[in-house]
Amino acid sequence: MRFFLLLIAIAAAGCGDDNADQLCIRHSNCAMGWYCSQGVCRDKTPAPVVVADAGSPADGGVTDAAAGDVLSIADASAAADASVVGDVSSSSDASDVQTDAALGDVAITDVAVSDVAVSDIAPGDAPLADAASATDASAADADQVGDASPQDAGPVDPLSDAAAPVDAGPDPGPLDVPVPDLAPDAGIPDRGFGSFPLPSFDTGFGKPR
Amino acid sequence: MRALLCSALLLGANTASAKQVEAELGVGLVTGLMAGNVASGTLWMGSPFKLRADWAAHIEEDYSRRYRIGLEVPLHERIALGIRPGVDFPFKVIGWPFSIGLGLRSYVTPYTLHGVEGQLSWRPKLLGKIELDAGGSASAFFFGNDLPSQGALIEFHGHLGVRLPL
Repeated sequence: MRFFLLLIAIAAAGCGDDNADQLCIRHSNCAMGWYCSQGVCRDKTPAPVVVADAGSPADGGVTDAAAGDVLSIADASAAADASVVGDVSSSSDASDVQTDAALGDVAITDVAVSDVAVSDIAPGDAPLADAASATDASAADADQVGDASPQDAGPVDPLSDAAAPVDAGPDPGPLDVPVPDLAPDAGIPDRGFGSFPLPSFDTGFGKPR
Repeated sequence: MRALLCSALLLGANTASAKQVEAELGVGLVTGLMAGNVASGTLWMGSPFKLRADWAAHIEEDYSRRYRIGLEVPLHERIALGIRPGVDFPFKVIGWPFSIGLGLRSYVTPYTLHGVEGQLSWRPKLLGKIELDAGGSASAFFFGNDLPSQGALIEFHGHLGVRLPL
């Protein structure tokens, strides 16, 4: 009986999904199906499609991580936050965007987020200083999309084309994925224990150039 | 009778040639810390326990150096096979036997990781011919598909094991 309990404990330790926040230096520090990128284990398998939610524009910011531009992500998140923009800018366009977002207009919100993040805001712009212009851009894009999209007021169809460019598809993450043929976990069972993380001391060794 | 004589001569010949290679086997465990560069700077982690076994030998009574070839297997995380060829240089400090070793360290399957290693060992007699092998080592890895891009890895290990002359 004790033996079976031990087996169950070992299996539970090995099958947990706690690799999401596991620190790593090598790919082999992560469990099977995961790889190491920027010190954190990431999942190789595609993420499930998430239904778009206009109330959480930060979702668009995370999805934009596919672009791999961390600076753009931060700027986009700040600019896409309707409340922040509305507070800073006195433009009436800001209230338009905020109203649309509150109504759950996913198409407008998503397009505004993606447009602001990738196209309309330069990475070097300070999010708050350029809030007015960012708001204008968002509103302008929102108007265009609002005219073109038939789904403005209705509920969001997760399979529709409007939501697909932003929310569909996995988060590829940074480009540290190992070569598939030489993947560290190819055919090798995972023991599941992992190494124990220790505090990070910034000694300045080997910093990326 | 003649066959027996020939066999004895062959055995004698083999014994004579065996003296040209004075070999020993070593087995031990290592663990320690590893450090690597990640996006936020340098990350320190515990290094998994590894089981090491090696075969080492003095060649032609040259006791100033000992050549070795070893295997290494991590005992947790992912299973892998590593090889550790190198040379040890024995010396004595106040009568105590020590050894400095230099060599390569490579994981060859299922992932690859290649680097160099230096080690210092204390090898006193333990029981009869068996020697204790305790010390530390430092390794640096620069190549291999187990490293994220632009990554480098340094490991600091302590090791404990035994060595048995053959």
